[in-house]
Parts: sequence; structure tokens; C-alpha cells
Amino acid sequence: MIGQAFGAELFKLSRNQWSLFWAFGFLPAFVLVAGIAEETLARTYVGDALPYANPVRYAYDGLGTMQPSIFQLFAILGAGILFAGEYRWETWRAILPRNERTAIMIAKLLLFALAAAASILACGLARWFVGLLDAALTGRADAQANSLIGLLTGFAGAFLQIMVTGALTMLTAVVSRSLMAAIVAPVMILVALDLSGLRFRLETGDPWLAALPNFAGRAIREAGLAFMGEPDAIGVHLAGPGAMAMAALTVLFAVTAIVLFRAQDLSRE
Amino acid sequence: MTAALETSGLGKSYGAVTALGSLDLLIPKGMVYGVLGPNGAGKSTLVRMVLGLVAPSRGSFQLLGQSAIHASVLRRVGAMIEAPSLYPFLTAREMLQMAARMSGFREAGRVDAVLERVGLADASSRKARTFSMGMRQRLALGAALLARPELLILDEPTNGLDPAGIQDMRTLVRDLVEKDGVTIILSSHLLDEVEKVCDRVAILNKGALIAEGRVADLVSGRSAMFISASPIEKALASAGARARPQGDGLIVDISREEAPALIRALTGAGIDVFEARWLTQTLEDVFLSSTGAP
Repeated sequence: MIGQAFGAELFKLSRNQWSLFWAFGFLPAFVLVAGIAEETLARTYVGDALPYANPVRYAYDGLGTMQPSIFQLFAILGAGILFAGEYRWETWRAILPRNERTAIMIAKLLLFALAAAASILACGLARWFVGLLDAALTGRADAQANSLIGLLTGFAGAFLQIMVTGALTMLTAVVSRSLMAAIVAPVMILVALDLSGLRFRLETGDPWLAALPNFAGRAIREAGLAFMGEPDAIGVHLAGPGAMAMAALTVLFAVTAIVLFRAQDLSRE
Repeated sequence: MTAALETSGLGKSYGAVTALGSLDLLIPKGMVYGVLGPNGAGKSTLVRMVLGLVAPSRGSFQLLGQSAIHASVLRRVGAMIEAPSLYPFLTAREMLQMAARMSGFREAGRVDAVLERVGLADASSRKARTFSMGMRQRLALGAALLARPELLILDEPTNGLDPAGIQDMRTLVRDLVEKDGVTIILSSHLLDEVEKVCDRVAILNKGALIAEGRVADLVSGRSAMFISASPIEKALASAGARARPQGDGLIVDISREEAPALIRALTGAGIDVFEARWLTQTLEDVFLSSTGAP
């Protein structure tokens, strides 16, 4: 059932090309174009600031592109289309008699995870390409130790953070039955989290910060940097608890959404 | 033989509002069964409960012999509920392909055959958002037919169709029952339409079942006779409370068996009877008198 629902959802999303691009394709394209423009302008007007470039570090930075709240808006848009689209187009009644409610929701979440992972990786690859360009012009820096573990850690941090946001969007879509609300509510929550970032600092190392996705995500990124030999990484000890907290939040939001959806009367979508 | 749908005390309330009271209904297999009723009668609520979109507040039902409504049962049912629900970014062909994937249905050439059957073969590559209401209706019907359902639930299937499309739909509905053995539950406001294609009907009003039976029985069961007679006042008095004036005569609600005695009574009372003919009652008459509509 989940496999069939996933196949149908994947087919549907692949045909919804405009939404697919804005939700998951725009940011990697933007990273690539902006990176090339940045390199060109910097070289033209400023000159080469560093005599060498490290494409792996570029890739690492690219993997974190979706983590700032402003860029999570694209992932929220994608999750909104996946989870609230059926309410918007009144299409639940077209698909629910063909599959199970739980299977369809899990399939949608898996598809969001796949698309988000692909988008994060594409951002990393785009930035890596910019790094290669820079390195070709200026010379390549020495490879760092544990680059692969660092990259995987950086990917995991970004992925978990986006999954929390996606699951939150899933929940608000079910509760509100509205695409607009499914997008606006998570954005407001991210803004609130950003405001908390003005008041609290990761540098303090307070354990409870691991429960906030923006701090947890940053702690995991710092851990990735530490793997890659960055001596000034901060809040690394919050990376493990932060990863667990984000995984737990994702499960909590998704399970709550599924339980509510299973009991939801679709007298009108 | 198992019923296509059997409900027992089935009902739904939203707070203090009762959408469907307590419905006992048995819809046999192998026929077109019409569900009639004015807006708010509970037709859509019934259909949505059967399809698992809405949970019943009370009672139970069996769909194709199964009381647990699971996808394995619902996949034997094709449904087109209210306005067609389509993804605007999918073409007609993609809509059917998506529906097949969601159902786990695989049959080579089936999508093309369905597009042909609903008259959308030439528009198969057009996005659903460019479709007229009639085309959307045809595509939704195609999606309902795709997985070769045993039971087809059609809610206002002729909405937006032109006269030729309505005729096609009628033919298709009868063909599905007579040639393919499909059972069809058809909900419609077009009473003439229902009378032409349905074998049995149920009439719902304000969440309650108020009439049920074969169309022929319902139409003949409330027969009336027009009698042109003089003097009219004397004829009305002689016929009693079941008579009402109509032009130069009167209409009397009587059964076929009562007619000879009534005419004998009129002529015996010295009333001249010039004409006596049966008024053919339509399903619309039955519907309006059952629902109390003016």
C-alpha cells in the first residue's frame, strides 16, 4: 500500500513541475548561479582574497543552504503542496478510496524526505562546483581529514532540520485543511525560533537549546566542522541530543498528523 | 446473493445537525439504483460514509458483503462524488495513470480504452485545468471506471454534459449494468434522468428515507384519474376528499381497482361523465409529493 501510494505521489509531484522547481529546485539553481556570480564579481573587483580554495568546504557550506529560516520557506512550500494540496484541489475523495489513509500520509512524508534530501544534496553539489571553479583559478587547498564524515554530518543536520519543518507543515495542513495556513503557520514558528536566537546563544552550551531545531541544526553543523578539523567549533556536545530531539519532533508531528487525519471527516475537503 | 450495499440504522450528525438520521437500506447487485432527494437530504453524506471519507455517528453498513471498510473493498468500487476532483496540472492520461498507481492497478492498454470509452481520447494530452465542466465530468467518470469496479457510485453524473453527452451517459450506464454486470448507485436531481435509467430508487428527505421501491411501482402506486363531469360541484361532493377540481373536471387519487365503482357512483347520482382517463404520474410527481415540495 505504501509503495503504491509512494509511486502515485512521486508520479504526481514529477508532473507538477512548476511547484517542484520552486519548492526543491530553485535553491540549488540559485546557489549555483549566485556562487558563479560571486566568484566572477569577486575576482573582477576585489581580486583573489585567498590564494587557494577548498571545494569540500564549499560543498559543506552548500549542504547547509536550506537551514536558515528564510530558505526553509522553499521546503515549507513543497511540504504544503504535498500535504495541503489535496485540500486545496479537493482531491482527497479521488485518492482515498484507492488506498489507505495512513499509507498515503506516510508515502507523502517519504516523498518529502526524498525531495528534501535531493535538494540539500543538489545545493551541496552546486556549491562544490563553485568551489571547483575557484580552485581551478586559484589552486586547490589540501584535503582535510574526515571530510566524508564531516559532509555526512552536515547533511544530517540540514536534513533533520528540514524534516522537522516538513512534519510541522504536515500537521498544520491536516489541522487547518488549508494550503495558506499550512505555509504561514510554520513560517511564523520559524520566525519565533529566529527571535529566540537573538536572545540565546549556542556558545552558552545550555542543554535545553538542543530541543530547538535551529540551535540543534547549527550544533550538528558545528560538529561536522569539528570532524573536518575546525578548531573553533562551538556547541558540539549538543549535536547528539539535538539530532535525537529533531528526530523525536519529526516523529511526534508526523504521528499526530496521521492520527488526526485517520479520524478526520472529509465531508468537504 | 450479497447486496451491493446494506445499511442498518446508519446515520451521521455534525453536532446538533443531523445530516442522515437512521437509514435502513438494501441495494441489490446488478441494477441501477437511484438515490433522490433535495439538497441537504443526506445523499452525499451517505456516499461519503460508504467510501470511508466520513465516519458514521451511528449504525453500520456492509459494502459488497464486507463490514470493515478497507482499501481492498473500496478498490472494487468506482466513485464520482459531487464536482469532479482533478489535479489541474495533470493531463487526462496522467490523471488516469496516477489513479492506477494509487490503486495498484496494472492492465496494459486500460488507460487508452477508458479514455476512448468516455470520449476523451483526442484530449488525452490536455491538462485538466483546460477542460470544460463536461470534459471534467467525463474524466472523473473515466477514473471511476478505470479499475473495472463491481460497484459504481455516480453523484450527478450528467452535470455539465450537453444533450448528446447525457444520451451517451445514459447508454453507458445501462451498458455497464447489462453487459458488464456492474451495479450502479446513481444520485441525481434530474428526475427524468433517474426515471429513464434506474431500476429502483430511494427518496431521502431531511436525512430520512421516505420512499423506496421499483420505479414502475412508485409511479403506478400513486395513480390519479381525470374525470370531466357535470355538474362539477355535485361530482366533487360525490367523489369525496380524494378529489380536487381541475378545469372542467376533477382529479381523483384512486387506485385502478376503485375506478369502476367511482364511475358507477357518479352516473348513479345523475352526474354526466364525459371523459375519464388515467393521469400518468412521473417520478417527479412522486418525488415532489414525497418531499412535500410545492
